[in-house]
Amino acid sequence: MKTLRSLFDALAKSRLLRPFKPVIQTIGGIVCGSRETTAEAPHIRDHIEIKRYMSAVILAMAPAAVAAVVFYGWKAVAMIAVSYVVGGIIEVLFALIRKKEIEEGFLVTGLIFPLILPPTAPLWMVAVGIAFGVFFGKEVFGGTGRNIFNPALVGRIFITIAFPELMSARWQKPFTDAVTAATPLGLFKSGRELTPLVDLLLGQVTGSMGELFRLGVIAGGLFLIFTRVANWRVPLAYLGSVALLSWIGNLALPSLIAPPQFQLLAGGLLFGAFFMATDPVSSPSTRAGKWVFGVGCGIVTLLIRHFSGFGEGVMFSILFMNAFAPLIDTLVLNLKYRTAKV
Amino acid sequence: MAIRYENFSGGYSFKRFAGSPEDTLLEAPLPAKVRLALRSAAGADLTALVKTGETVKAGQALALEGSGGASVLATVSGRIEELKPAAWLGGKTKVATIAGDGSADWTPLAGRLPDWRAASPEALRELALRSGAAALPARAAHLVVQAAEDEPHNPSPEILLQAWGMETLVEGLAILAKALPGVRLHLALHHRRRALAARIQLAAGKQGLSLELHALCGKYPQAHHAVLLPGLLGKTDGRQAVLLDLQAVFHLRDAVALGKPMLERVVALAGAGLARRPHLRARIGTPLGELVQPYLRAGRESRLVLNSLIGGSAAAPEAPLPREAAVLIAVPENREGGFLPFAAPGLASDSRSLTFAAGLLSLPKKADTNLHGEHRACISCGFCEDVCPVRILPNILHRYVQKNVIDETLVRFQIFRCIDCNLCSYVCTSKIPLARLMRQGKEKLVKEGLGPREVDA
Repeated sequence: MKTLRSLFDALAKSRLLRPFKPVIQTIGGIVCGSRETTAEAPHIRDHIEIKRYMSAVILAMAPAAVAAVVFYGWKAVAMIAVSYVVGGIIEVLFALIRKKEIEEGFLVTGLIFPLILPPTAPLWMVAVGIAFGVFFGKEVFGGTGRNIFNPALVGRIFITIAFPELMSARWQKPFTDAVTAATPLGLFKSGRELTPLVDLLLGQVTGSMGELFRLGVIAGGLFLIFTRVANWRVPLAYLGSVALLSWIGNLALPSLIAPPQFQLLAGGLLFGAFFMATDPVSSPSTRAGKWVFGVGCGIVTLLIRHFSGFGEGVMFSILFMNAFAPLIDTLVLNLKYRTAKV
Repeated sequence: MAIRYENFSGGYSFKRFAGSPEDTLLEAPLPAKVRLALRSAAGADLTALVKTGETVKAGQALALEGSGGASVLATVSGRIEELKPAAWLGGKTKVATIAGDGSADWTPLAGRLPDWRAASPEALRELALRSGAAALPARAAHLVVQAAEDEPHNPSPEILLQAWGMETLVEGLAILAKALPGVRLHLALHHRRRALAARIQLAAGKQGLSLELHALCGKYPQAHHAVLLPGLLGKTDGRQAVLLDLQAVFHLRDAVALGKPMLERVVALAGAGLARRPHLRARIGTPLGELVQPYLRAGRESRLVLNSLIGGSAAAPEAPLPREAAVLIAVPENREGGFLPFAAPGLASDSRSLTFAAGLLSLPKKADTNLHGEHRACISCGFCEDVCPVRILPNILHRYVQKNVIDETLVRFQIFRCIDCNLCSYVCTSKIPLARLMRQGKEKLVKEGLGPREVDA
């Protein structure tokens, strides 16, 4: 431990490696932990820190990611690797320019991004998307904690709009080579066809890589909520409002709106509700705001799914509500402290 | 009578920490020297009654606030060696140093009341104040005696009771009932101590005392008066209540029934920096270093902290044992971190998040001074909001202070409800000193003339 620490100290001091000091310090911090002690009360601190926090999110996504690799083999591995390498380079560049340590939020973004892509996405597009997402979704705002939008979603939307054909019409079922334009949501829209729920749960359908193995997504989401890393309010409000509204909608307009059990399991809803809408940075920070945010995501998701030209509405709804998060917080604060005596 | 379970929203349960005080009681040796601040419990400077070189007896008043007001008593017999202003609790005050003569005797308090049942409430209150045991108001609807055990390390109420005896406690409660006519007595113990509470209630009942019991959830900062009293009694009654710790009742009884001035304090030793951690009966003013010296673990650097790892202040070994001491903690300094902490199982790591084995398996946790992470920007994880016992939003408030935007908005967002419990800083994922920033914000607001008015909404 001491030798490791002195090794990193020596590297950080070396004149030759001076430009890379932030990177060395980051790696030193990852390997050896923090050396800083408390200066005042509280004299002790909770052991949670951003690295552990983000690691928990990655762990929670592991079942979905492993399933993607099982389903699509080396293609999935390559997409994840490209995302981490290209996004990582941008992250490191910004750390070097800012002369600050690398921010851990990227570790989550780098994994989410490939998981919300169709398995047919070419690797160069993974690179373009993650680069755009990290740069315009996060770094231009000042890094993790200051971004307004979920960076992975920014990248995804960018390539969806730039390459619509590749992003929405080329899907591939696990363990097959056939490319099709049909997704469970699309099949419902075109022919009222409901994909069996077991196929959805086990991921034997088309869709983005990470959203398919829904049993694993649910397990990961529950893990995040259990460990208190993700706040339970957002997924509950999101999934609850989708379930409730689609139940009502299905009763009123059965030919247009699918029943709730299908809605919940189809598309990227579970993945989005557990891993993207819960992103604390880009969702409202107040508790009441989280409810509003979740319900808003639910409404927009259903609107897009059934009343627009797009097949799926999860990423648009989260991104759309991200934009409103600061406003929601302001409104909540104004209401909460409206009657306060000043 | 049924025991009421008292919970509150927010707060944090520290559960079990390694290095907590042991269930033993020892007498600390008489100190060669004591240092005593000539200052009242409320923080007012008192007029000195003695001069340098003078011989004093333990129990003799060194300083007084007016006549019949609060006093500071010599806690050992000996000679006043020094009497001069010194740094004290962040400020400066006159401090007396007494070189002890080695005798353990003491002078009884003037005007003691062995037949206290016949004494007037005023006389009882005055004696309580002069003995140093407690400052009681003329009128109070409720009196709450607490041993909340809401800290990582707590003194054991069982040991305190063992040190003084059940009769002493019941007599103390009876004296309090007499000193505060019409008062309702409450006993608030951790819910684990239900059996003890019932025993005390039974003993009190035999003396015709009615005692209302409260089983506390034990989340920090439940012992804080702003959390405990409104929780137990409601907002209105909570404001007219007196809160005492268990030990104050014993000292009060000794003062009134025996004429014994408050010379000692039972202080529980705690922390992994100590090999043994008994409860010590020690003279007030004893240097803290002397108290822990026999028990220190060799070769480990520790920080001495008084009363609370979360809210207490660090103390130098020369610092004297204060009147309000309850726990003395030697918490190990950790400047080394750990190997791959982000992936470590965390068998002894405390965290509000359930991402460490200690939290999942209820294992005893180890406390040290390491920050356990690097400073980062706020990610709005919401932990601080969840634990805040007064329901304000540290994550929002701290941003204003950081940007130096100190205006009415902070007042409107209720920054003055903050009770400085420090829990937000404790749980922060990004290691932001939230509590310090809030304190700075409050200080600046006061300076700008935007201080607290009616802060309870």
